[in-house]
Amino acid sequence: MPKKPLLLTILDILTLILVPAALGLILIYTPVEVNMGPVQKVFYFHVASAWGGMLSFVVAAVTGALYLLRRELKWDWLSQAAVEVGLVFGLTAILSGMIWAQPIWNTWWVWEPRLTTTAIMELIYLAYFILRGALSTPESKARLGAVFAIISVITVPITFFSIRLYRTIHPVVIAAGSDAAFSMSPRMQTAFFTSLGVFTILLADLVWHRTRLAQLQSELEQKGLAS
Amino acid sequence: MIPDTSADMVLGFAVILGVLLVYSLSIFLRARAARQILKDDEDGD
Repeated sequence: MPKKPLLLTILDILTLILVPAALGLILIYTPVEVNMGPVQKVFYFHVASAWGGMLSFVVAAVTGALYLLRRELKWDWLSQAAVEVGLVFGLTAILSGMIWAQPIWNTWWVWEPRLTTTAIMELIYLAYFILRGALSTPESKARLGAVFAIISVITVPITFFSIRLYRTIHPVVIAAGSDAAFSMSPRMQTAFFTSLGVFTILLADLVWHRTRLAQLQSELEQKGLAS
Repeated sequence: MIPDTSADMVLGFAVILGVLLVYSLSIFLRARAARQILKDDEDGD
């Protein structure tokens, strides 16, 4: 196992500073939305989590394709790391969305297009680990895992565009003019884009750490020490 | 009148940050356990 790179340490420190800073920005700097009240502030991290999850699944597909082309295990480590971190980000997006929905929609869950496609996307990526667990050799895990990650990425645009393609009660945030669910003031926009940036850095940090863990697990497997 | 949904906001942030914190901790602990097994193997235990 190679030593921890300096860049990863810098990324760790940056993440530890930026996440609380983004939270502070949201709590102190952004105005309270008049119709929803303070719970609307969850939206900044909710959207950033969903963005992180979808980006991670795209990374998993790209690195999966790179594994199939080059047959180097490092791409498989990165792909499985991206799927796992994407699942966690997707889970936080779903849970925070439910917490927002309870006071706003008066229900925790509605089977509308965005929520349904997000749930399906999460379940499909959960199956990725069930598939890997059912295979015996590292090569078959990597090969079929890569194919699965590439095919599953179709759920990302379906989920993203679901609120634009179908009638739904889910707010459309990024839209031109009057199509948006609520108009964001300049302060809200600052917090929104800051959260997206911070969660992208957090995503990179977690994926990198998880990739190093996958490398360690691969070493254990090669030595017959994996449980 | 602006509705008071402060408790929901606190719960929302707590869940997001809590899940991410627990997951980060799980990566750290799994990596530490794996390194320990490799070290024990190298030491001939």
